Amino acid sequence: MATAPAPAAEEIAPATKALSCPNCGGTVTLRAAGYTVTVACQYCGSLLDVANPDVRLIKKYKEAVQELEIPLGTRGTLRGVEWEAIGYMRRSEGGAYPWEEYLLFNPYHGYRWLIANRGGWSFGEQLTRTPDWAGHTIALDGQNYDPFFANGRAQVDYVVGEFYWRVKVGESVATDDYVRPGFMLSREANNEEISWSLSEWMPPKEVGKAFGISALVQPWPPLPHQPSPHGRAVKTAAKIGFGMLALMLLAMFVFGSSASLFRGSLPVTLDGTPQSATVGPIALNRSWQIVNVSARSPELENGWIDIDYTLVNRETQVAYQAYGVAERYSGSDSDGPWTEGDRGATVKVASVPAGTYDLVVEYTGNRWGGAGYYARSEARSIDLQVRRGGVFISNFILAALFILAPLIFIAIRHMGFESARRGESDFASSGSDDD
Amino acid sequence: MLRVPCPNCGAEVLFRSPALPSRVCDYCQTIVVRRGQSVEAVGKAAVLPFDVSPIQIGTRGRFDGQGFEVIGRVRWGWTDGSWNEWLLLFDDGRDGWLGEAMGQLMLLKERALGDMRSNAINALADGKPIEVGMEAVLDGEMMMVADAREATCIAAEGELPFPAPVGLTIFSVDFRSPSGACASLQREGEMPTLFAGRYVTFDDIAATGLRVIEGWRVPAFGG
Amino acid sequence: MEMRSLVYSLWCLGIGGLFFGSMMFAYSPFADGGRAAVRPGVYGPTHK
Repeated sequence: MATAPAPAAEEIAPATKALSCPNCGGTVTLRAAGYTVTVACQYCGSLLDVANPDVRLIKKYKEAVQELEIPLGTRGTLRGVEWEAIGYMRRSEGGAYPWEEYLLFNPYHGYRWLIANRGGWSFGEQLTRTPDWAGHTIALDGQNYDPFFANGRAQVDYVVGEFYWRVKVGESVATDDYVRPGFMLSREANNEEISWSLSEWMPPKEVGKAFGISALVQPWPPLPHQPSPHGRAVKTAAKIGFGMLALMLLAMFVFGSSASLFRGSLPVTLDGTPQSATVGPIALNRSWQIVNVSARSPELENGWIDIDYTLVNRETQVAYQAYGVAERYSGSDSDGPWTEGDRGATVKVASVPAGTYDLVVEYTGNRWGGAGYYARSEARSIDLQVRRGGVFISNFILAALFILAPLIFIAIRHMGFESARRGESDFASSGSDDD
Repeated sequence: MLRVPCPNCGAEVLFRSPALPSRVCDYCQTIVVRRGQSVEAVGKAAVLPFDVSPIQIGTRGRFDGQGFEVIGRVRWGWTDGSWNEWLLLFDDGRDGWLGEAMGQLMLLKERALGDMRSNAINALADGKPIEVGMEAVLDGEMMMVADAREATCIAAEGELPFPAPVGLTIFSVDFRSPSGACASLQREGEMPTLFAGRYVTFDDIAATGLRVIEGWRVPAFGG
Repeated sequence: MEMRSLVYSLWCLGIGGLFFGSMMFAYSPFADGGRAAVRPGVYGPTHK
């Protein structure tokens, strides 16, 4: 906001008015003269009525005036506007859960409140409009607020400085509070009036910088309207993480096709004698590929076949080895008949470079003696299929775990924050949904 | 436009509009009433108490597309405080009021009493107590009583539509709404008068010519 | 974008990079078979 041109010197009105405290004689400075109704003398704490030209003493206090975190008269700039702290009061719920309120004043902007609660700060304003009711929640300027505290009673425990109404220690109002992340809408009512105020949660650093406060603490549990520091991060991180997972899935679909290189059948018997067969030439065209060898013996019963594979590059004679076993067992026990093994095995050999290869299959079929005398053991052939390509799902799962782990960690911290925050509400329940 | 010497002290007194026949002499606080081309003194207004209000006679602004100038003020006091009502003269010759209390501004224009439907009007006429929360309908909008109080005029300055009513006691009821619209019912004699408008900020009315207060920077409102 | 989101983006890019790298080289730590010592003997046609 720009500044208006400076006026001639004699046109400048004084900003303060001094008066004498009728109790202690100290000079009390009025900073909002014309608006201020009550002043609590900063020396003796006596409550003075300045609504009328003759200053009346409402109540004498002998106690010393409390040292304030923000001394009255301090100015601070918040959101581009300069404010002067002119009044301070401490309120509580019947003496419990006390909080502090500073009355801020700027003649060209009116009044605001700086509320200090358990170490957290909020910047509040009295509203000139009333909220709309929408069932359980209320709405202001198109934003919904959920109830947080209901049927509260705020009483004034201590005052010092200026106020624009006749504030008395002990006076109380009925209170209700509604929140949305970062904002609290409060209703205060007594017999004479109902007023609404909106306060915004302020980052402690912003208030500290404006009013010169140090040693700022983070309240725990969080303030009712305190936004979760993890909330935004979770949303952004979820977009990034799931975005990357989607990309990886897409890549797997696009590049994960496989092609069959060989299909054939090898004879096998379950007599324990080693057998061997060489399949080739197998041409691998891609720079690097997965070689997928599956072996299945469809008639296998009560036996197993050890299979050793060696994939040998014809030019370089570099060998790639893998081992698989095809097995099938069956029998009957007290629970009934059972079977084990699916008669086949698939092995995946990784990072096989391009070239022409021979696949040496060395296999031995064995009977399973535990089948019993009457059990039938047999095997006739092994269906062998060699494929190139495909995907390692296990790679994706491993990558997904690494991608999701930080996300899950932040989500847990966010839920912990929200749970602690909501736990303070009068409406705390276990079934509330997350934002 | 009529410029005449004050019948009491001789200082120049300005009357801008025939619709506003009263004013307080800036120098001796004599209430001067214009009758045709002549003027007469009808009493004295109290000296205004010191305040840090940024509005002053001569402050200009805009509301609903019309410019206005602040030309007069009435200060009302009640048991727990006081507030200002500034008289506004719009460019089209009509007048309005800017109520200034607790840092909040209500810009109001007089309306026909029949424009508002409310139990509060009947209660006011019957002398029954007005309760906070009582409802009213004005221009199709629901309003609620925000406060109701008795007030006495404690001082006045500038031009006014009536002789400065210093010492006059009225009963004033303020209404609020979800949209920021507001209204004020004021009863002094038999019938209440209705004023309606809305809450504004200095920015909303693009206020210029505000009083400079020592130690405070005057913002340029209105963009 | 705040610091944490930036770090997480880099993390995801890193994991993604490793994943796409593994696809390019057809690599997996879970593969059943891999390179072995050169076996004695020659396989395949040896005539020139």
